[in-house]
Parts: sequence; C-alpha cells; structure tokens
Amino acid sequence: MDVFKSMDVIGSALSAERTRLEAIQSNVANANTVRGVDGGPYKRKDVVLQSVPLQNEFGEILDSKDNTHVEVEVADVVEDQSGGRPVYDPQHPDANAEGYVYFPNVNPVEEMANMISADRAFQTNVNVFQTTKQMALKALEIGR
Amino acid sequence: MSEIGIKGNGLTSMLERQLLGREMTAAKNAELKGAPSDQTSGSSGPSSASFLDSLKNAIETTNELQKNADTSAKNFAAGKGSLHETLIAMEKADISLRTITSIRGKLIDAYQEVMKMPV
Repeated sequence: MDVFKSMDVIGSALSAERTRLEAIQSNVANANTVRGVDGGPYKRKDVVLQSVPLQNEFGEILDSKDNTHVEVEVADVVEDQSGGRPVYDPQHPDANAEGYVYFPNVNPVEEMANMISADRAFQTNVNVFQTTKQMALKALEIGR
Repeated sequence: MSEIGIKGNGLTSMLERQLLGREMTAAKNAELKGAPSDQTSGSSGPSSASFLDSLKNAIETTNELQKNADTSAKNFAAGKGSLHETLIAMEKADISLRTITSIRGKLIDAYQEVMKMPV
C-alpha cells in the first residue's frame, strides 16, 4: 500500500535526523577532549545525507518509475579536518614545545544551532507521519 | 500485538474461515432454494476467485505487518532497533488491521443485504 511507502520514507528521515543528533552528541561530549581516537585532538563529526529511491529489505529498488517516494540515508560520517583551537597551557601533559595544547575544533554554539535544526527536522517528520496516518484513517471513514 | 489475540497465522485463518464459511452457507442456501448448482460454481469462476485471491493477499499482508510489529517490539525490548522504527511498524499494523476490518465489515454487510433479498 502506498501509505506504507510514505511511512518508510518518513522512517528513513527520522533515522537520518537521529544520526545527525548522534554526531552532535559526540561533538558536544568531546568538546574538550585533547586525546582523540587517532591520537590528536578530537575532530568534529559531520553527517552527509543522500537520497535513494525506495528499496525493499533486500536492497532492490521497488519501482523505478516511482519518483515520489525517495528515502534519505546517511552516506557518510566525515571528520571536520580544520585545525584545533590552540590554548597556551605549558603545565598540560599534552602541551607541545611552545606550550600550546590543541583543543578540538568543536564550537559549542554551532553545535547547539545544529542540534535545534536536527530536532526541528525530526519534529517536522513526525508531524508529516501523523498527517499521513490521519489521512489514511480519514480515507477509511469513507466506508462508514 | 498479542493482546488482541493474534498469533502466528491466527488472523489469516480466522478471517479465511469466516469468509469461506459464509461462502459455503451461501452456496448451500442457494442450492436449497433450488438454484442450479452450476450457476453457483460459475459465479465463483475466474473473477470472484481473483477477488478472493487479492483478499487473501491483503489478509496475508496484514498478518505479516502484525508479525513485523510484534518482532520489532520484541527487538526493541531486547535493546535492538530504534524507537521510531518500532512505532512505525505498529502504526502500519494498526492501519492495515483497520483496513481489513472495514473490508470485512463491508463484505458481511453485502452478504446480509443479499440474504435479506426476497426470492
């Protein structure tokens, strides 16, 4: 049924927005982490989204002529390669020869703005879902 | 979704039995009323059989969605799967069950309407 295709599309969007929020969670949690996974300071993560035609659970495209239902998926989680924020602290164990420690390239204000954006996008998709459901239930009332 | 008493193939077989039972009583009644039996078998020819097939298909889909909702709820309880996917599976099951129920209601209405018809 078509209404279920719509729900799959909305579900993919909800998953994508959740992944965005998860990246933001990592960024905020590691805003002051000077020892990242690969040695240097933590690098800000960003999510790259891409659209895909609706697929079934075996990864086959359901209907190549159907260009109304387009899902979104997380193509990649990339690391922001811009330099970290240097802080002069010679006492720090990770300070370099000049006495600077490199903190992550995470800007908490920017992360907050991105968080609100992801949250609003999630809410919007939930609203779309509710409208889709209400339309389906309203259509069922035709038979009553 | 076991609280509405649907387990495994329960829903499919239940609805199928109801529908087939009604069809059989209808055929029997028609025979009792002296209608030629080949006409009844003729009416359940290709067109009505395909309708029954598509109905069966719809019931199968509904049953499948109920089972999906059940599995995803279990998975979520076991810490696997995401919250929104579970709820979407449940909504799908809900909508398909409502649809099939209303189709069933319409079919029974039509059957009763026909049975009320004075011959």
